[in-house]
Amino acid sequence: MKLKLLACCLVLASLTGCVAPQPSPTGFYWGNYSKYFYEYKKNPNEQTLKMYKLTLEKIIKESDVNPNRKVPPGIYAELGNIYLQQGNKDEALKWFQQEQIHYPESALFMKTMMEKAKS
Amino acid sequence: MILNRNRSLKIAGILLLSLIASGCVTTPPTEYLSKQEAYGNFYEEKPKTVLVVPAINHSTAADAGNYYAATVAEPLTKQGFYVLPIAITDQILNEAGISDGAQLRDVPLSRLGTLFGCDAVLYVTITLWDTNYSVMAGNVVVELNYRMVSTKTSEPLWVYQNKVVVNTTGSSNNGLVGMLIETAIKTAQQDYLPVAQMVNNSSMHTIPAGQYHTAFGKDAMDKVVNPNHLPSQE
Repeated sequence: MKLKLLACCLVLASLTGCVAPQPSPTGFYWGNYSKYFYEYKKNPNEQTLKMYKLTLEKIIKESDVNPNRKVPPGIYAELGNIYLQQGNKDEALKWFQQEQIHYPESALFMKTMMEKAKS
Repeated sequence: MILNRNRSLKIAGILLLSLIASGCVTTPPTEYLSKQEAYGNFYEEKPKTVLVVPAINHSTAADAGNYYAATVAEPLTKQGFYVLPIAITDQILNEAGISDGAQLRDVPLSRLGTLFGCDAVLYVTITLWDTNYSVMAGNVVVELNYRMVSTKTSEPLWVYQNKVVVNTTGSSNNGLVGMLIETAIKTAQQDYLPVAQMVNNSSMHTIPAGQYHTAFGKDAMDKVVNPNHLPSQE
């Protein structure tokens, strides 16, 4: 009997797989970040940049209206960095500040980025 | 009775074998280490901010580093940490001529700590990223070696070695997740992202939870670290 039980457990274990995705207790919402950041990183061009930027904006928008979702670390800053590269310093500063407000532990790095944006 | 017993044993054996073959279970759970036993330093330092540096790629897949970079932040933040924005830190390192983690070997950790304001640096070595094909079957084998190090003491805080084998053809015996991943793999160009996600996700739950996780400070006794996944001491 014990052996049968063991066998059943093993079947269950193999069915559920080993890395079943779990809802995160942090509430961090990443949307399609991996896919579009990957595509941009592999082929940086206008189209991939556009999709990557849209993905970041969508994460922020969808987290703002859903109390169970939080904008994860780095998202505001990455959006700011895109604006910085596009020469829009005011927008860049705005998002770097957002990163710092939401994540005070980013202060030192965001200070560096804001100085870069102001120069 | 004896016959029955033997049969049950055989079935259990076959199932065990198939689990081992799918790359999930290699030792019985009783031998797992607690997070405290495996990563005592971590609980003393309680790092909050992590800099993820470019992978050291020893595999034959040139793109493996990008797959890693695109999928590592999500599970690491969900484990409770502030991860410095990889898109920006990679860019800064790139501008300094660093695109592979191996080039950082001579950069002191304390320097990275002051430059980026981080408590820890996560290095990874991609030792395997192989795609195997034959007419009847195919799979992807990925092996990563993680090493998170303190910028204050230069001591390792978390080390983990993980190998994942994903079937890419035939009816899957990898369970539902395996089948899902298989389907994803067959669909498009995005092939390897689910594989990279799988290996990162299945590794990072062994990191002691950070401040944004509800288990922060409560998981020291969790026996989830398979000692076979701890790299042998150098």
